[in-house]
Amino acid sequence: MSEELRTALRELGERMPAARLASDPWLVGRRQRRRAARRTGVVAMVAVLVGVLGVSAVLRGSGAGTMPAAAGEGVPERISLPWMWQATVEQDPPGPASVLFGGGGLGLRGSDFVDHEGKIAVVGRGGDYRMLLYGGAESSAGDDVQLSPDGRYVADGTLGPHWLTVTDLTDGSRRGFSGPTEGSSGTPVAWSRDGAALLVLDAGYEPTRYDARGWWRDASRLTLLELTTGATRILLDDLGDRQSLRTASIAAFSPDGSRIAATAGDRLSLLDRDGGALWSRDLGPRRKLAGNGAFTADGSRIAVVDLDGCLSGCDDAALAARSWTVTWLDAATGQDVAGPTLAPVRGQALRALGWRHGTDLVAVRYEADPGNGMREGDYWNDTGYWESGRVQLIALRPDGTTEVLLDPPDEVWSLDVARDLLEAGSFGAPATEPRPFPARPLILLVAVPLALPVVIVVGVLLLWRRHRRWLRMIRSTPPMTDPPWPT
Amino acid sequence: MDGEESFRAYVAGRIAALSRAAWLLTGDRHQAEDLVQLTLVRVARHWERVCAAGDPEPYVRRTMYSQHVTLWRRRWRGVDLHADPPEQAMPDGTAGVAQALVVRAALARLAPRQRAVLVLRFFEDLTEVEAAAALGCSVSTVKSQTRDALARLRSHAPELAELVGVGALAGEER
Repeated sequence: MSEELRTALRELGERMPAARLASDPWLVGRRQRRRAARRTGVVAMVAVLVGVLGVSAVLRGSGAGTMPAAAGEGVPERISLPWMWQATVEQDPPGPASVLFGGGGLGLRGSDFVDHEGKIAVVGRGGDYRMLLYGGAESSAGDDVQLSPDGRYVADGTLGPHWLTVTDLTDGSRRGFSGPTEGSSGTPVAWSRDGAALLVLDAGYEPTRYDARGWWRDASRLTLLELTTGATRILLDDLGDRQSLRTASIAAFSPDGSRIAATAGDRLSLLDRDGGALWSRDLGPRRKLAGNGAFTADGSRIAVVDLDGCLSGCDDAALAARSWTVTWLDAATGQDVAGPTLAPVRGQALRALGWRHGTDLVAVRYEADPGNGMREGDYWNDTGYWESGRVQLIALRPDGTTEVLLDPPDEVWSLDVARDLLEAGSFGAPATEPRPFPARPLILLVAVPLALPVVIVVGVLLLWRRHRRWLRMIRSTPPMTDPPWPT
Repeated sequence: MDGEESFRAYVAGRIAALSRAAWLLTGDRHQAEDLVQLTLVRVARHWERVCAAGDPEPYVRRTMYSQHVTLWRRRWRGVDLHADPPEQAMPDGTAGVAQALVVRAALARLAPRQRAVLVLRFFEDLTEVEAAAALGCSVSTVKSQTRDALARLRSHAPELAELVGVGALAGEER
């Protein structure tokens, strides 16, 4: 019976004469072959080009192709906001940094849902921008994230498994330290000039208390951390409620590291490294230790800043109208002493970082955040993340003039500078723009929505073109009548 | 003989047979001619390699059958595969022609791969192994497709029971 099916199919097949070919298959086939070869060649060439350009871009982005750090070493004349997806220090270490900065905008503050709320930008001495990420905690450069004097390390006490963490910017490694009491939290206050020790604010070592409004109150104390051994020593107990401290004026190391000026309430004390008080005096509510760079270069005087203007309950206008004047204390006795008359500085706060060439006080000037006034009873920190507006790096010369060393974008609300560059007067180095690569995977959040429409349009165009060509080929066959019936 | 000459010689010698197979596969003359054209163009692109392998026939056959399925999927999903093709309205009283029409109508109701299996097995007289090689599938797939195709033919065209009966099924086992 299968033979009959064969016969039937054969008879049916006989009805089809030899196909009339619409075009010479040999010529068409060979043309397609040449086109395919050309297309393959072009694609290969593009792939090679993209590969070469991509690799070189990534290498340039990673710093492998940049000039040696020494070529442009110094605090850059200008800084720019980092990309939202800027690579981290761990991902691609930038080497010793010149500047740290934090603030707002997508580059400096993200959502913990897809990014990190706390983002500090690190500007390497080769010009690379890298990030330190602190999920769950908005962070301030020079405040709770501090750069070591040689620019190689960053100390931070933001949320994390350790009391305090030090990040090595040359390899991205992180070293955690334990505090004097388990479970307490540390915040860096000042690096010693040799980078071997840190003053750390310790808090949370006692059960949290709550005030009448339900706000928590944590006791705090000043501790000394020896970085080589990890040993800690309590220098000054009972600094007061952690959330109410003015962090810019907590403490400062003397240039040789043997003495520490420390504030508790309105009192300023000079301590040795064991916490022994050499002198102590009351400064009153309007005089503050100038910052962790308050000791003069020779260690003979301590700079304090006198506030002229609103002290409490200030609105944003009153905060902006504040003026700070630098005065001097004798480091040996704590008594007021004469010194260079520096220009008063207008702003919400002034924080001393150190001395350029031993003569000019380099400081960060904090402007008030418009619309963000101080409310009575609320926590307030003149240099805190939430309280600060834009910042400027300035130098106060002994001749009474002021020089703006760095004027960052408005979104920069905190700043820290490596002490070695500051003391050497290495400012105004050529600026580099942050490069988008290398990037964190977060870049996909931006790249995919941008690329998708392009991919769809190109895909549709290609499909349409292919369909048209195919239709053209199919329809090029001339209409034919049905084959004759077999006879 | 250079590549072009050998290709043209091959086409001249085989185009009639290819056309018949294409006609059985597509059930439509224009589509059959398109299928032959596409197949030969594709073969021409790789003719040297095809010849280097020896007999070009397996490659050509495989190309045509895979093109057939591809084209059907891509372009002719909405084609008029009538249960009763227009040609049915041309009875001439010849028993053989009537049967051919019924076979054609029944073939049109098969899926492309089922049609391909029947054409390979009963028109081109290939073994199951050769048919599997031409379709790029396993022998068991050829078997099952053949069985399903014949069952469908019997179901849709009871008048073909004699053609596709036990004997045809037995023919599968070759």
